[in-house]
Amino acid sequence: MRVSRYNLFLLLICCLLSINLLAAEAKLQPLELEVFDIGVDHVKVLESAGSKLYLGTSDGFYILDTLTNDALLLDYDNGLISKSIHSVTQDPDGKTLWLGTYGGGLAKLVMQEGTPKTEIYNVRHGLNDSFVYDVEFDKAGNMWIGTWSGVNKISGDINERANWTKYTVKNTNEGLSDDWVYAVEIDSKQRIWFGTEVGISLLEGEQWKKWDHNDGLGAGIDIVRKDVHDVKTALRGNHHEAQISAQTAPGANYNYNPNYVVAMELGPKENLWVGTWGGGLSFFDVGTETFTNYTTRDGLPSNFVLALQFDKEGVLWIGTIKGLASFDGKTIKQHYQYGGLLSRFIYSLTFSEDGSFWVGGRKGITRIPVAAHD
Amino acid sequence: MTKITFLILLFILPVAASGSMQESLQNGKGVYRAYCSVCHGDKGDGQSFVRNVIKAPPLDFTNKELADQFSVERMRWAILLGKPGTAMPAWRYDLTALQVSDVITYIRKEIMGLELAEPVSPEAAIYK
Repeated sequence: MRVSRYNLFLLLICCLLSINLLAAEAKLQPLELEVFDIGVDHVKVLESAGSKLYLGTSDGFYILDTLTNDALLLDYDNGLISKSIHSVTQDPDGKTLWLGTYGGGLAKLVMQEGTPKTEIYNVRHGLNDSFVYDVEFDKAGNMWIGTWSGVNKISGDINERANWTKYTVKNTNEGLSDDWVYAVEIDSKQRIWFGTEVGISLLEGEQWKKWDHNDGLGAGIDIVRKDVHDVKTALRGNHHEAQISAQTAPGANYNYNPNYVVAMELGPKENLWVGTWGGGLSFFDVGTETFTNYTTRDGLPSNFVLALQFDKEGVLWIGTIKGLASFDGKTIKQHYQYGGLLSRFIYSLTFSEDGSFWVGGRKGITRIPVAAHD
Repeated sequence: MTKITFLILLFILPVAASGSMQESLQNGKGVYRAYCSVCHGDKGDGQSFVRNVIKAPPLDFTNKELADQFSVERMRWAILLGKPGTAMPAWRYDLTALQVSDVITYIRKEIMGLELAEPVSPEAAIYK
């Protein structure tokens, strides 16, 4: 058979394309999944406690018994002022849960037989404002709360207003990067890290330090431009306009803000991993105070990173608006293509005691069993 | 009072009153944007993202019937003490008397469309 140069050229192109496709498929990991349909959408938070799974959603707070699949819903009828739950934190006392709500303040749930007892803490108690995004406890038992109007620290009896301390941009002389605080992390040295809409702040004793895009947080617009699109019009409005106009990152707008810390997680070596709004995944080496950014160019499904969770092997699981990925420190693998996660828009991730991996998204929750995850 | 003094006052007073109203509206607009618009909406019509997830929908200040029911003092009480059982917080520790009166001025004049001869006074029985 006579083979022309042109045919040889076509054959070569086909071979190269096939190799590329195989390489791309090798990065996509199949997973066995179980999908739970309890009619729950917008699962913003997942928190595991024994056989219980706590779900913070836009329709209320759910307690799911993972052994029986029975779910208990708490909403307005149970004393909540807002049914949009943005954080769920277990109190060190082992009996209490704290829910950060969107517009309804901080809810205290005392767990008991049957339905938990609810108390609401709001501005009149000392809360900076009624939009609560994260709650963490330090070793001394102080409660740290991230709100849309700065940070609260509660030392002692929560019912005593004098025990509430406020930290804002103004009263910290701009030590706190921004009053819109979305994430709080506390390391073993009891340093408090805050993820805000204008970067990261650190409170160490009485000293503040901060970092933003100018220091390397989040990928630059030139790197992520292709992935920037209209992602959420809900951020628009006068209340948000001031935030956008305060941004210093080139190209920042509603749909790209590398300073906007949506998710933040301390790694096994207590370095900081940050999910940004359009700026990808950012790794902050606490020792050298340097950032390394990972984007779709490195294999992320999207540069909008909403959830981060480490497994027991130290692998970082990454929830984005376009699917799930994992990062073992060397390679980013995508997991959404096979197995069919219920939602590719991922808000929340958690591991339960049996090792199962739970993924919360716009459309319900998906459980990835132990074997599949391993 | 001489005729000249009277004439001077005749021209100066409205300007002073107008300036004060402008200042009050400007301050009130800032307070409204920072503390109120997230729930009550940019236009004060209660159309906000939050309204879908809170127990009682935020009030629509553009509703003329409601506007008639809301006296200055009722609004002041609501801002300072909140509305128990709803998402309306109590701002008494966070807003000064002047900020409260300015935001009431702004809501009543710019959103409710009421005629105001002068800004709402920060002097009120609730503070005494």
